[in-house]
Amino acid sequence: MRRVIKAKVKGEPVGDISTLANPEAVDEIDKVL
Amino acid sequence: MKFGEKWPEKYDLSSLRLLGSVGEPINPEAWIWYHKIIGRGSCPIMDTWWQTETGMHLITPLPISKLKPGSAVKPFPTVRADVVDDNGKSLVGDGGHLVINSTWPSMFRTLYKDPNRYVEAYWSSFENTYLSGDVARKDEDGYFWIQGREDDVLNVAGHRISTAEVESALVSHPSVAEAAVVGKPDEIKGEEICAFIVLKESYGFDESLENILKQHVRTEIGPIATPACINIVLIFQKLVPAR
Repeated sequence: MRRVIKAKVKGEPVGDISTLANPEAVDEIDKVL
Repeated sequence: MKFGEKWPEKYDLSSLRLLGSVGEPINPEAWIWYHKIIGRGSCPIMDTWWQTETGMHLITPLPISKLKPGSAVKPFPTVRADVVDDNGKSLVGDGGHLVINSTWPSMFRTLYKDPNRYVEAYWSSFENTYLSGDVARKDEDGYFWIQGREDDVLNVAGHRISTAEVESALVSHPSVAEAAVVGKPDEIKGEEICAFIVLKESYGFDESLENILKQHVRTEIGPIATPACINIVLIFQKLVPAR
């Protein structure tokens, strides 16, 4: 979870998210940044 | 926690005898909620610490252990664990490197096609000592409090702050269900604290909440740990438990 958020905050590619149960939650982070 | 107690109340939980918590350190607020609401105050929580590399639980309560909410308790019998500073000196009360000083039955013996990396990454920081790469604190009773990966420790103006510590402080506020804290690169401070939170269902967004929560963390930990920003999201990503 933190890895994805960290990448988003730094503007880096999020990488492999195939192990996430709810990949749509990544959009939530985009919305607030 | 976010959706309140009405969901677990729909189910008969009376057959539960033991609860587990794995994967990431559990913060004390979530631990207490889990204990009271899911375990009806009577199921011990086995909050274990281990790694894929260790192959077995190395720090774990036993069902008869005296528990402290948020602590993984003590090393499994025969395992010797410690928390040390950069020079290998044992620490009590302060955060440091979580290391293992003994052998254990399921030790991994090498990395696939990369034996040198195995030696360098895990066995080269301190003599005859396994470096876990996690940060922890050992209290005066010898209980271990896992704080997260070394990579998750923030450097804010020269102070080492664990993301788990700030997350626990945020979740201890009644409005917060979940929290995730990351470092945002900052030219002056090195890193600044950037928090993401999920609110409990009964709390709506309120402009003043950001300041209330910043103040809350300040009171709980100290001024240096005050988040620079607090972002409210509806849901966090969850990992599919793979183990």
